[in-house]
Amino acid sequence: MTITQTDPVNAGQTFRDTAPVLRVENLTRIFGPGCPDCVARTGPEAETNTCPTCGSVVACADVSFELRPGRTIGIVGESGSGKTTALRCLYGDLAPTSGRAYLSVYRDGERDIFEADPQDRRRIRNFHLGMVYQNPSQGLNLLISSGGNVAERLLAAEWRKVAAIRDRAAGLLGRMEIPVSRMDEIPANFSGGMQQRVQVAKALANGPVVVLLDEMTSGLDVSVQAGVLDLMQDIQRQEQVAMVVVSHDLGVVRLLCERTLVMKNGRVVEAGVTDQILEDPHHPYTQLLVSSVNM
Amino acid sequence: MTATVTNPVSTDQQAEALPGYNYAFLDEISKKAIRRSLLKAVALPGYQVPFGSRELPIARGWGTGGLQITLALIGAGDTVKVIDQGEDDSVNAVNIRRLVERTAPDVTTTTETGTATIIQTRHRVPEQPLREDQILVLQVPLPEPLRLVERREAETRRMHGEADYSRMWVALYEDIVQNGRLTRAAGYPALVNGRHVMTPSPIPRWDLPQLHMSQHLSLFGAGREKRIYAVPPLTSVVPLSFEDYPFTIEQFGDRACARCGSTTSFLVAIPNEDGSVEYSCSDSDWCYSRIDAQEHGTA
Amino acid sequence: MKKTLLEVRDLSKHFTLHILHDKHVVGFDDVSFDVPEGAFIGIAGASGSGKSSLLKCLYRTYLVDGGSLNFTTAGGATVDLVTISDDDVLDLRDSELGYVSQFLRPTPRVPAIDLAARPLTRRGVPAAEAREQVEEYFRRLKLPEDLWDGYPILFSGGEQQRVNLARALASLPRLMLLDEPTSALDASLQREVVSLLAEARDRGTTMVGVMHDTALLHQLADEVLTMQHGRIIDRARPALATTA
Repeated sequence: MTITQTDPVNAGQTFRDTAPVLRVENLTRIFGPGCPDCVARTGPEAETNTCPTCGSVVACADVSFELRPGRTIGIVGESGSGKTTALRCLYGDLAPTSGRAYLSVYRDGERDIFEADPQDRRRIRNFHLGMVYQNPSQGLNLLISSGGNVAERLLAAEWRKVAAIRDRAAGLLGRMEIPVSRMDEIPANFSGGMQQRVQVAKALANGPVVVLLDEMTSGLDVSVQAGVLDLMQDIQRQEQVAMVVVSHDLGVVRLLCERTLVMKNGRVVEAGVTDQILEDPHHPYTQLLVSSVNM
Repeated sequence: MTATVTNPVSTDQQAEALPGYNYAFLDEISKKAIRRSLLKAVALPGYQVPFGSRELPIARGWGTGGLQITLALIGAGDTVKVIDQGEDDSVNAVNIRRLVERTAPDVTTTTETGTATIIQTRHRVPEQPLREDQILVLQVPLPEPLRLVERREAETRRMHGEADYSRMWVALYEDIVQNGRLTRAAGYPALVNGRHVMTPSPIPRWDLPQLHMSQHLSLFGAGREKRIYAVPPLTSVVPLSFEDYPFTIEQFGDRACARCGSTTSFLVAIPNEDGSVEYSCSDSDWCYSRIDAQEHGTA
Repeated sequence: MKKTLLEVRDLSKHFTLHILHDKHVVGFDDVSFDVPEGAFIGIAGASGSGKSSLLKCLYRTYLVDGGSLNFTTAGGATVDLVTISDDDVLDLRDSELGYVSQFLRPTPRVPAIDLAARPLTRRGVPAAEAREQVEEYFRRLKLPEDLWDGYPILFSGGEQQRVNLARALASLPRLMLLDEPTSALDASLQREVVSLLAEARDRGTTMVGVMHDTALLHQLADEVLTMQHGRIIDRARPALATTA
């Protein structure tokens, strides 16, 4: 038997589009009055997020990373490590204390989205970002239909044809394995796993360049988690959407993320290709994290 | 105690006005404050400007917002028309007109749409298109179009600030999903100048196109809610709707006004004692002018 | 003379195990060798000699502590695999680098055939075409057809290894890194793997392979580097040796 294979090696280019869709620089968020000592006196060495001088909480500081089109980056760390705060700053739920972020789709990536006026900020969020929250009640209006929830994103992105909105919502919900017969039902009647799948459908609705996922499977039973993670992998394969996945679960990050940031006490202590983080962790905290789980 | 009032108008006029009251009832400082809010409202079409709503000799909720605007604007030479649901003769319209007459003696009142300089109205826009030298003042009970989808004031302000109207759109979408059409009858939400969503006060859908790119200035006053907003002349007012579910006005089929025979005006149903229903113009001036014209025409 | 695809210079790798009281472990030191285009470089040595660590350093699964890895891309550019960004490493893995690990770590609930076809589909090869190519390798590697749509996590070691090999071979990377690719296979399958690897070489794939089976290695390799305690202690050219 001979192999009738065409040589794919030289078919594509070596490096894909190297311009990042998202670039984050020194993202810092401090809760409290803040003082000049805040950043210096907190972090993994100090083993605290609370500034001993003024009592402010440095949720995250100096978080920087780039994300290329279609890639997925994970942010792992224990609760209180600042990963969710960083994500919520990017989505616009929280204002950062300092730092910059650039999206390729906003003014050619040359203007800091944190400096955008509230109307632009809203447009960026409505047109170019998607978010899946840990708690479905944050990401969904549980009292309007699941189709209506997906429609809200489309309407925010200025879709103005009911038939097209319904088609898109039905298609997305179908892909997330929500029967079309239930799209006019309110998500309050759904199981946790179904609610999260509605959230994903909603987050993807407007064709975002980046989807932010915050502990999306943490509240689910293990068997339900598996189904949701499978669907996310399908999405990754089929859509050219970049993702930031926040999770305390290394297993989730291993499945979904090509690169990983490890956070502790509000700082990124290590960043690398995910298999490197898992097989050759350098920071003591990462080594502890990796050795603590059975993978 | 006698209040000392600074009054820029002539002592002549004051002498003729209702004794003990300032010209046009409101004190001049209040009028200036209201006019400043009006200027801001005109500069930001559709944006709800907060204002210090004053006490008036009518109850809040009975048109005090519109009345304060009218009283802040009128002066010598103005002609005021007041209508309530299209009628010049309702008790409320008559009372407001009488207050204007008694506190601003150099202002005349009228029921004719064409001769009025300021038209204060509740729930209707006159059928006859207004000119650029006319001002329409609408009484607004509930100025916040987002109140139906968000009860927190701070949140609705944020939504306006960010032009975040997706929840409003969802409410319309859900209306279609549940009812197969857009069911909102009065106070239909519209986007003003491509920026702010407003409620045009509870006017029928029929009237909404009259506000779009109009020659006249429309001013909206909500006394109880302490908000003023405006649609300046030649400003777009676009009802929120969908490509496949467009905004439509009320349809009256082949019905005509039982009094004047009009088929091009907003009709209201009047039940007869025998159970049958008659239709007639909601805008009484429109109706009477037509009847007048017909009588003179045949005479 | 053939161009050099990968230049390994003064590469070293140490581990500091903070959770074991900062225990220091030497992976390997001062490793230098050239990988000419189209060559098969074999790495031999006892367990713990550092050969798997070396291979993982070439793929960025391990970070090196010193040295350089100059790699010439298909486009002719030279990049140092030690210093390029993580994103560039990921791109290179998608386009030019392949890795066959000793143990498959399968993604749960993905059928064997889809798992093996993934590197091709990632490069934009249509799914049906990718599956067809993988099926040919599955047949050659005698993976029972009823397993093709099964989940590899439930497979035996030998079956997993065949999925892994088919995955790497089907994608035909420019540089394929092989870590004990035949350890769980019987002799007849090993022979099939040897001929498959030879065919891949004929089509232009360069390989660096770690094998403890020196006989097999000498059959395949143009040069065999032998490692001991983290250093290269011997370099042999089997082809030359046999003809000499």
